[in-house]
Amino acid sequence: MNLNNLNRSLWIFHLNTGSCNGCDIEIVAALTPRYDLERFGIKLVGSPRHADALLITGPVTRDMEEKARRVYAQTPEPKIVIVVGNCGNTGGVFYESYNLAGPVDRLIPVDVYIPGCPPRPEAIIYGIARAWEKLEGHGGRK
Amino acid sequence: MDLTLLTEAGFWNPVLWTLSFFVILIIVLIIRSMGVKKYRHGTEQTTPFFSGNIPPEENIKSGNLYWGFFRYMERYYKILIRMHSGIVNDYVYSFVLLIVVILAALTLGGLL
Repeated sequence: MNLNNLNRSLWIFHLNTGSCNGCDIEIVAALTPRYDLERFGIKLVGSPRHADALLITGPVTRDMEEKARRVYAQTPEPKIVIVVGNCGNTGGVFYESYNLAGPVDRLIPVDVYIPGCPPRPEAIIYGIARAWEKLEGHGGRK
Repeated sequence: MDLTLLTEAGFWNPVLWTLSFFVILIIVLIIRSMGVKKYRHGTEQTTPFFSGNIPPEENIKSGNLYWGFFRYMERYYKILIRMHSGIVNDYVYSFVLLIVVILAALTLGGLL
């Protein structure tokens, strides 16, 4: 993987679909000076209308199902979806809960799964970089 | 014919203004052409983003910072507006009533 090959910066919209905030804290940690995700041109934006990628945390509760679908629909194409954390990937500890509409890939197509409870910032950065490669047509190869 | 208007406040020339307008227009069109073209009209992609919720039908301007307060405290504001009739007699009645309430509270509380 060579980040010099990437053409554009990646703008990300972060969507919490019922997360405990563990994954969200790790996403924020990835933006701190220790990891400094923004030096690669990766930054969080306030609206899916401006985003290239969706970074989704949480197992998708019933209340969030419709909202998650709408946010995905409002993101312009081409777009990629990255799921952060066990809850969004599989349901995690809420697996088969009565109050769950997720996991995320039950609602919308997912490109990259980042497992962990929560995943470390390095894992999140790696997952985002792979998704970025996929978006720019490198096929996610090393 | 000299079209230039020169005053202490500034400089104005309609030919230069027109040329500048078209130069800026061309720059704007170039930037606009670089935008995303795969927009799906008539779908969610053309509706405003409202934190994932269905956007309200009324048009809320960005300057209306207190829209949420007005919306959810509407009943309270209605009473306040009704009280502020602009008639001095009403204000004096309210004033007298308020004094009566305060005096009654103080009397009942044993402070008078």
